[in-house]
Order: sequence, then C-alpha cells, then structure tokens
Amino acid sequence: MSMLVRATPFHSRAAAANRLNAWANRNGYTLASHYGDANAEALAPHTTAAIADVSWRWRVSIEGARAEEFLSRLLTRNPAKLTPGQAFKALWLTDHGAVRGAGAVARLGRETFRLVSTQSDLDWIASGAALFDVRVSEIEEGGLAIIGPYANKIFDAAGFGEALNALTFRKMFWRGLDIMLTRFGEHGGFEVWCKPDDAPILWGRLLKAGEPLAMKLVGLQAMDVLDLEAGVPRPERDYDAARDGFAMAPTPYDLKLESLIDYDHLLFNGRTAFLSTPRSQTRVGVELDGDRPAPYTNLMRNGQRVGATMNSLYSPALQRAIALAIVDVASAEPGTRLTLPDGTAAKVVSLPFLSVPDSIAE
Amino acid sequence: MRYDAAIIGAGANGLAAAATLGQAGLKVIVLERAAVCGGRAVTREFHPGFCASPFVDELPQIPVEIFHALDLARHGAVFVPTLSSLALWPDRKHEVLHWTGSEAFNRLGAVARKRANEIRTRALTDAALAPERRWFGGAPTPASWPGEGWSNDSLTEFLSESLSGDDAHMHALAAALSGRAADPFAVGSALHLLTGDGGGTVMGGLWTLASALEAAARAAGAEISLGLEVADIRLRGQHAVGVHLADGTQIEARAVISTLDLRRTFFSLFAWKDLPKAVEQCVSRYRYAAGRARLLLALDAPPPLEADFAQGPIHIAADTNAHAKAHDSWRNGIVPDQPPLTLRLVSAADPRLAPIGKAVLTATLGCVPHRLFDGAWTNEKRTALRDRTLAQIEAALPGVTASVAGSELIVPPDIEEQLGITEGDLDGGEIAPDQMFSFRGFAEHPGSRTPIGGLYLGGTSPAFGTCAAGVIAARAVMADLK
Amino acid sequence: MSARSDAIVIGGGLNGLVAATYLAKAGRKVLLLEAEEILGGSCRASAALPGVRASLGAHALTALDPRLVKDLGLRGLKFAARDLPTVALRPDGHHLVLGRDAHASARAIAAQSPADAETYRRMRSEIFALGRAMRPLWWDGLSDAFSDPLFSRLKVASATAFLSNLESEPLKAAIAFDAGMPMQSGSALALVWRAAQEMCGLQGAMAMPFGGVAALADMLIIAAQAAGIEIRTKARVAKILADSAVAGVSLDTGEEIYSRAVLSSLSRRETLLDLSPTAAAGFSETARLERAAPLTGDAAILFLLNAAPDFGAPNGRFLIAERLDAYAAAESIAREGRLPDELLIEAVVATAADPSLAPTGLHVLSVRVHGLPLAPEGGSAEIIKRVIAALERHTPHLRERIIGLDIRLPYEQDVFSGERLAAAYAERVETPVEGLFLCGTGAEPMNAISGRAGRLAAGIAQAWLAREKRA
Repeated sequence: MSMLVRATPFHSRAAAANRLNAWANRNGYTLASHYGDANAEALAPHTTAAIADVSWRWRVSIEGARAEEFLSRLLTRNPAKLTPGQAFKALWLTDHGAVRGAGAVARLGRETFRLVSTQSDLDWIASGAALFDVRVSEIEEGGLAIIGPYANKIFDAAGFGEALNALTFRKMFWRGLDIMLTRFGEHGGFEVWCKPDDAPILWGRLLKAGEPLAMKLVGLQAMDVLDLEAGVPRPERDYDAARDGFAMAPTPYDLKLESLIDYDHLLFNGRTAFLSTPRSQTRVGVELDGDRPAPYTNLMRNGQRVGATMNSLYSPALQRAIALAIVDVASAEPGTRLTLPDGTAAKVVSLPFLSVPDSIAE
Repeated sequence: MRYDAAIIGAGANGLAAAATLGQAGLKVIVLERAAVCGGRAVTREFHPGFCASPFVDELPQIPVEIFHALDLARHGAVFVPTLSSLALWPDRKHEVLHWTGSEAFNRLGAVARKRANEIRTRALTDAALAPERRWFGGAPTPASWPGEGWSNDSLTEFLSESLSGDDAHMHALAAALSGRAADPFAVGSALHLLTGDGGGTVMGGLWTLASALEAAARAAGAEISLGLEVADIRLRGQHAVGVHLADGTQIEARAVISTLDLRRTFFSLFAWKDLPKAVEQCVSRYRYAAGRARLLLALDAPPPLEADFAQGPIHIAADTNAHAKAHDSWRNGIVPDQPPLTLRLVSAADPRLAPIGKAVLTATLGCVPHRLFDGAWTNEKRTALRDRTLAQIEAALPGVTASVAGSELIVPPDIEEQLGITEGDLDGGEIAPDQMFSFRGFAEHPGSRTPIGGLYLGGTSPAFGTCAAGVIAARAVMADLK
Repeated sequence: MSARSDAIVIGGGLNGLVAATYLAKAGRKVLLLEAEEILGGSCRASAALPGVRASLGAHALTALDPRLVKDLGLRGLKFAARDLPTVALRPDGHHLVLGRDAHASARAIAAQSPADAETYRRMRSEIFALGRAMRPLWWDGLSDAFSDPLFSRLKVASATAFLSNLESEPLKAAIAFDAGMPMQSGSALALVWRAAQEMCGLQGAMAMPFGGVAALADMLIIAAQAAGIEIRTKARVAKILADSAVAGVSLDTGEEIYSRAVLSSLSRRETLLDLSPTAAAGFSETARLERAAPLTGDAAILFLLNAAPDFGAPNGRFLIAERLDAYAAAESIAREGRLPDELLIEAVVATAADPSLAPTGLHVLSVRVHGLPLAPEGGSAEIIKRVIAALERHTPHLRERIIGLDIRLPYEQDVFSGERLAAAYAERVETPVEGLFLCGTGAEPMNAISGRAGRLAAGIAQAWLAREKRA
C-alpha cells in the first residue's frame, strides 16, 4: 500500500473554495476539512442539502468468470442474488471471524462487480481474488455525494432523469459526461462519479444545480459528524479493522455490524469462527455532558471500566458532544449512565442519534 | 377537571413549561386561543406560494439545557444559528459597510452572549428555589441584576468603549435596535445588546420549532387545547385555583402559569376589584415600547446579493443621531422618515419559503408607533408606509421593487390582535433597567412568582432566550407544589 | 450406490486404515477410498523387487502406538528386532554404538571424548525423563499440562543449541538425525518426542516387525475388513465437496460420493490446497499454506544384494552423518534444487534381523537419505550414484553386490515446525472446514509411523458426528 497522499480530482476546485485552508487526510487523500463554519456545514444535511467530495472512498473493479464465486467466498452475503444495477452492503472477515472491511458491492454484469469501501484493503482482496483467477483493479474516479432533504429535488434539477432506488446505480451519458449515479450512502441522498478529467465540470454543474436550493459545500468534518449522528462506524476513523489475517478482533458483534451478515449464506471466509464468536460487547451511542468531544476514552460504570468510546465529535444539531462506543453488553441498555475517567457524565442512547430527514415537511 | 397546572398560551414558553412539568409527572393542560400552537413561532403563506414568519425572522437561542431536556433535536427542531450579519449604507454609496468577521465585533458579541448566559443560567437554577429562600438579604435586590456597566451605560457609550471604527459601531447599533423603538443615548440602553445574542432560525421555518415543542409537550403527557380562550383566572381569596374559559368551562388547577404579558395577564384575566392594590399599581406603571413593523415581500427574482451576504440579516445602517431622531418621532406618534430597517432574504437560507427561482425578502422596521398621533392605522397610512419602505429598500438593493409580486404589511396593532400581545410589543415590555430581569415581574416574588399565590408569569423575557421564561415558571411551580 | 456414509477416509495407507477401523468400531458407517489398486500406501512391499517384502515406507518403527495392537487386534505382530541401537559410522572405523543403555553408550563415547561421556549421560537421562513426563501430550492429545518453563524453552530451542554442550561433532550429528531439522527452532523438542515413544515396552527403542511394515499393513487391512468398512480401490479423490461443512468427495471420474465427515490421510497442504474448494481453509490460512511449501524431503532406497553388506560394526541402524553443519548445508543446497555434497544417510540391513524379507540368499539394505530437493537435478540416477558412493566408504564392494533396487524420490510432506510439534493433536487433526479432519502424517507431530493421528482423528470425528447428529 502506497504511503503517498494524493489529491482528489476535485482538489483545484476545493482549494479555491477552502478559504480557511483547512485540510485533512483520509484513506490516502487530501480533503477539505471544512470550507467555512464547520458547525454550519454539519447542519446542512439536516436542513437543506450538503455536497461533499467523496472521491477518497476506495473503489475496485472485480472481474472474471469466477468473480461471483470469489465474492461469495469473500463477503458475508451472497452476490448471486444481485442483478446488474443492484448493490448490497456486506462485511468481509478474517479467517477467525474478525471484521476486516465493510462496503457496498454492486453488480455491473454477469462477471463484473464493483466494491466501494471507506478503507482500502487491496492486499487481502487481490490475493484472495488471485486464488480464483479473478482480476482486481482500483478505479480512479471523482465522486460527489449530495445528502439532505433537498437531495431529490437537486437530483431532478440537475436533470438526472428517473429517480434511483436505494442500493441501485445507473451509468449514464449526462450532457456530454460519462457518469455513474449511485445510491449507496447510509444517509439517503445520492452520489455522482465521473472520470478524473471531468471532475471540475461536474463540480461546477452540481453546485449550480444546488444553489437555488441552498445546497452547502461541506468538508470532511461535517461528513464525519453526519456519520456519527447516524451511528455509522467507519474503519480507521472509528475503529481499527483487523489487518492480520488471523486476527480475532474486532468481531461483528463488537461493532454491531452483524446485520450485514446473512446467516443463510453458508460459505464465506471466517464463518465457522463467527458462529462461535461470543457476544460480549456491542456498539452503542453515548451522549456526553457538554460540548467537548471525548474520542478513544475509557467509559466507567461504578468505578469499573466497561468499554471505550470510538470517535467523538460535537454535533451542532444535537448541541452536544456525542460518541460511538463499544461497551460490555451488560452496560449497553439505552439510558445506562456512565462516566468518563475525568468525571464527565455520559449516557447510553439508542442509535441513530439523529437521522437525515428524507424529504422536507411542507 | 382538575390539573396540577394550567398554562395560558401555547407559544414557545407555554409549551416548554408544559413539557417540563409533564416530565416531572404533573398533570398539565395548555390553553391556546388560536387554532395552532407556537405564538410568534409561526410560518404562513402571505402570498400564493410564498411563506414567511410574519413577526420575526429568528428567535433567540434556546438554552442548551432546555434543548437537551426536551429532546428537541429528535422532535425535529434543528436550530441553525445566524452566523453573520451585514450593514449597508442606505444609498449604497459603498457596497458593503461592514460585515461580521471583525474580531472586535465578534468579541463584543461573545461578551454579550456570555453575560446573557450567566444571567440566564442563574435565573434557571434560582427558579427552583422556594420563595422563602431569599438569595438576597434585606432590601429586594434582584439576583439576576446584570451588573453596573450594562444597566448604567447608554448604548452609544458602551459601543464607543468596546468597538473602534464607525462602521462596526453602526453595525452593532443597527443590530441591537432592530425592530425596536429605543433611544441609543438613554441610560441603560446598553441592555439591548444582551437581548440580541446568538439567535437563529429553525429549518423549515419557525413553525418547525413550534411543532417540535408541541411534540415534546405531548410526549411528556401534557394536554393541549386549541381554540379555547381563557376569560379569567379563578381566585379563592388571594390564591389562584384555576381558570374560566370563554365558553363557560371551569378548569381547576393547583397552579396557573400565564405566558401573556404583564398587563394582559392582570388587566384582562382579573376583575378590577379582585386585584390587590400593589399589583394594580405595579402593572399600571409598566411601560411598553412597541415599535416593530414588518413588510413581507414576494419576489419574482432574488435580488443580486453575494451568497455569503445573503444568509443573515442585512441592516441598513444609520448613525446614532438618525436613530435618536427616529425614536423622537416614535415618541410623538409619528412614523419616522427613515425608520431603522433590517432586511433579510429568508428564502436564501431556507428555499422552502419560496418557489424555486423566486425569493422572499422580509423587512423589519423599528420605531413604528402602535398608535399614531392622528388616529388609528388606516389603509391609507398603511399603503403610505409600505411605499416609503419599498423606496428605502430600492435604494439599498436596486431593482427589487420591480420584482415584487405580492406583499403584506404588519404594524403593531396587527401584532397585538394576532398574538394577543399588549400594543404589539414582542419584547413584552420596554427594555429598561427598571423593567428587566427580576424587575420585569415582581421583585419581591422572585422566579416568576406573583403576589397572587399559585399564579406565575412565564411570558417573554428578553435576554433569557427562547423557552427559558416558561421553564423558569415551571420550575417555580414544581418547587412550590412539593 | 449405497446410502450416505458417516465418514469417508481418503487414503488406504496405514493411517487411513487405522482411522477407518476405529471409526467403524465406534459404530460409524465408513467408506475408505484408495487411489491405487492395492491398500497399504507407502508401507506396501516394494513392487519393483519381486519376492522382497521390505517396504520403501519405513524399515523400522519407533513410534507405533502400542494401544493399536490391542484395540485393532493385531495379534500376529511380532518383532524381529526389538531394540536396534544407533551406530554412527566413522571414516576411521571407530564406529560409535549408541544404544538405550546410557552407561554403555557413555563408555563408548569416553573412548574418544571423555568430557562428552558425562555430558551425554546426563543429557540422555534428562531427555528420557522429559519424554516420560511429556508422553500424554503426544499419546492422548492433551496439551495443557505443560506450564513448565523448561517446556516453553524447549519449544523454541533448536537441537543444535541443545547439543552445544557436547564437543564431538560426529556425536552431535548422530543425535541430531532424529531431530528433523536440527537448526530449526523447536527441534530440541523433537528429541524429547522420540524419547516419549515406546516400542515393545522399551522407551525410545527402534524395532523391526517380522515381515516389515508391509506385514503391519496387511494386518491392518484385515482388521479394517473385519470391522465392516466399505473399501474401494482405484478410487482417486479429485475434490472434497464442501460449503459450510463437508458434504463428501468427488473422484477423478466425476463420481460424487456424499458423507457427513471426511478424513484425509494426505498432508495438510495437499488436503486444504489441492483437494478442498478454493480458499476453503480461509484466505489467510491458504496464503500461509502456499507460502510454506516444503522444498526438501527424504528419499528412500531399497538395495537387493546378493551378499550381506559388512559395515564392520554390530548390526544396528547405521548413520552416516559427520558434522552437525552438514544438516544446514544440505538444507540450503537442497533448496536450490541441487544435491548436497555430504549426504546424511540412515541405513538398515533389513534381512539381518528378518531374513524372510527377501528370497533365500538375498539381502536387503534399506536406506533413507535426509533432506534432498523435491525435484533433484540428475533425478534418481544421480542420487543412487551418490548414495552408493557414500555407503561404499563404509561397506566396500557394495556396487558389485547390487542385483536390484527400488527408489522413492522425496515427496511433499508437511513441513516440520516447533509449533506443529508442540500443538495439541486436535489442532493438527481439525481443519477450518467443518467435518474435514486430517488423520495421516499431516496430523502427526513428526513424520513417523505411529497410527496415533488416525486413532485420535477417528475419536475427534466421532465426537463431531455425535454433536452434529444432535444439533
């Protein structure tokens, strides 16, 4: 894996808009952390719409006669059920049932698939694919996500045609550009992908389409707050995905991602180990007293450590700091009162903290 | 029907009080004469396809502890703070006079916010104390007294000390006096700075906040009755024991919270003979200073404004003398030549308010008298004011008047009639050192209490923030009913 | 085809027969599949030498589990030699006899190196004591009994380090022959393993059965047939069928046979990489197995002689191993595909103890060459040439006496490792595929005939089948 940090295809446009020169790195790419007031950006997906550069997400093409067989072995759900144009979300596990990655898998054709994830895992997937004579290649594209109650209106305003159902995608030739429209995000809305060279054009067109609807350009920080509010855990940012092929942690139960596993899918890497994994911990949402975030901090109950927070940020919509955390099952009931080591009060709440409204109330 | 508490008025304060009491397990009923909840937190269509909040564009920020306690975020109220404001010369000699972003300006705002927070927090906590526990010894000194500087200085003095630069000065002046009738040279007018802290809107329009508060109140088990007018408060001796409705229904309650303003509470809900002399005197001496008028404009095309500037209030700047002159006119019952004006392109931040490609522009005027020297507000006088205001707006944003598709003018008597507020004063009384905070009600009866046992005042109290007055009253009720 | 079996056993060699028989005795319906025409695996008598009963599989036994004899009713098993000493052949003719009698060995050592004698005696007692103490690890599959710090040190110690107290190179080299790859971490434990074994009631002994291991194989075949196992020969398994658990096998003819469990007597690598569905062992495990391809192995040669070879030493298991370094040198040369200059050889005159192994008047010299490349340059001809040359240094005129020979080239076996040696049997027997078990040398700690893997695999499979039935 290269240690090089790259610019996304939208970098020149993002730099022009990034007045405060606030940048961050994610998955090997440089992105604007916020373009102006980070709190205002974090509110945008709840009020009108937000547009963000998501080119940093890892995308690979998986092709071959045995591609379906390979993915069936790799993923915790069976891709045989996908028809071209459909996608689902699944995990992939180590031999011992620990979570290595999570992502959306889309079927483009009988032997062609695409995997999208927020963390790259080329070694594992490429070496696994090689066992099945399946080709894996990384895709370089520019991607913009639009999220918020106005997302559908902006979709229409841009002229993308028929609405797209969740977890489907469509390639199209849109006013001279080859693009792919997807609805893979956890927050509703949609994503538009284009060739790197076409990125500046796409940026301009989408910003223009969204302007009358008060769409706001948001940076990585706002997207992270959105993930946190929705309770969506991401590898690298919130937790360390297993990187050793024999690792036993974190388990799907720890991360509360077992819903991405199909128990009727009989043969996938790590299944036997997963079936005997104990459910000792689980992921919960924690509301903190005050507005100071507390990431990667122990959580105490009656003087005992019962877990720890993962990522934690201030949510302007909730007007408090919130955190995702992994705690012992016994302390995971919503309403359980915990404390941080410095005495700050914390309370377990059910997830999501807040969802994005999928349309506007008139 | 017997309740622990009856709340008059389902505005933000009334609903917040109901939710607070409901969460404490008390049996509560809220009585509202209008068909909807929300009071001034309302958004309505003033021209086909065009909506706006008729009375105010934004509300002061809800104190965080109340926001959390009522779980408003989950009930759908996402509070969007107003980040910036703009000051323009009236004839647009310079494009932009001043824009928030200067350090001193922001620091002033931060200082005012901090002080207001301190006062509010103290008031919220103190409300829970029972009346016997006086936190001031001897002569009544209000605990939430803002402090010497604020209550002794005039606005101009205070600003001269805190800000350098005429531009910033004028911006701050315009922001503090927006929608009001106040003399910037008057002693104690610095208090106006405390009332304009960190306000904001709620996405979808202010009515979203109202519905979130209503949801919170219902979730807490409170009953809300709409379309019911309270005729008077039932007394037994010197104690309030319930309310009479206009249709004759009697409601028994161990406590009554009135979110109406002081004069309306006492002079319309009681028979003259039942009021203690002290109350009658205090209430008659109480002053109102309604000066707010609103012009709502439906535009076929948005005015050419840079996106950054379009998101917040746009104050048409005037120097201190102009403000003083406007106040003079107001005092004499005359509409000023150039009333202080604040514009806001509300549809820029909230596209729901107008069809795509069109816009809603609101104008908030100050120093518009409730009663004109020569009589009532006739249609003629309304049209004259509207035209004059449009000319003012045209000077600041050329080309706007050509795209006006429809409009609505609201003057203080309209506010009085529609919201049931004395003289249409949205502040609930003049902002002056002898009428603010603890002096707003009855200083000897702290924390919203009144000389009448069982009766509490939960109406608007500037600088406390939205919902705070209602919650303070609720806490006083909880403390007293224990 | 008959109804679905409880278990299919792949491979009709010693281990497969043992596993199948134990399972059948536990009441399970077993099908044994053997690719060749006849059973016995590597323990069959040499096919190239008619009338000769010696086998290329092994010339003596060191680790045959004594319980097999009782459990499987191997009544005819008698031993021609019970306690073959190790004889380290020296070029100068002063051969060193290392028997089970520690004192006698020490005396023999003292003749050349007095300091070593005492060291050897102490070392040998220590090893034998440890062997007795650790026997349950390798006999019953228990693994948790050893929190002893000595054990954990041994697990990572190399035989070379362990033997460093001795001075004499030939002595060290001779002892190291049983340590697998003596410079590897964990090979010290291999010496203890050897001392944990028992033949004919004698600890650490090497014994030769009458009729050779082929006779043992015959007895096991009879026992298997008596136990009611269905046996099919000329049935080569091409694939193991499995999804979430094993479902059966498919032969190279395409025929699919279903069963609830499968036991494989092939190596772990071959079972999981070649026969199982792609990456059935798990992506990481598959990658690890691929990386751990063995590059060297042992070759076996049988020489049919018309006269008894004379090594100038009492009969025993002859070792030609001059220096400890030779092991490392041989390993690195062999990894490049070349034959080492200095061959490490073990030779036994099979007919000396058991003349019935060859027609009257003929003799069999059974040779094992340690650490040769899997695809040696020059092929078998070159190996034979060099082996004869090496042997002739100790037994002249060997070449003229050879009237026939058979050779088994080095084949792929699971690589030795200290971890493998110290793991519990269950870990070696079970695989990541549910219902698939290893019962052959792939599940043994060392490459030696013992049958224990077969026995324990049968037990583990039996328990698994019982659980699965309930579930």
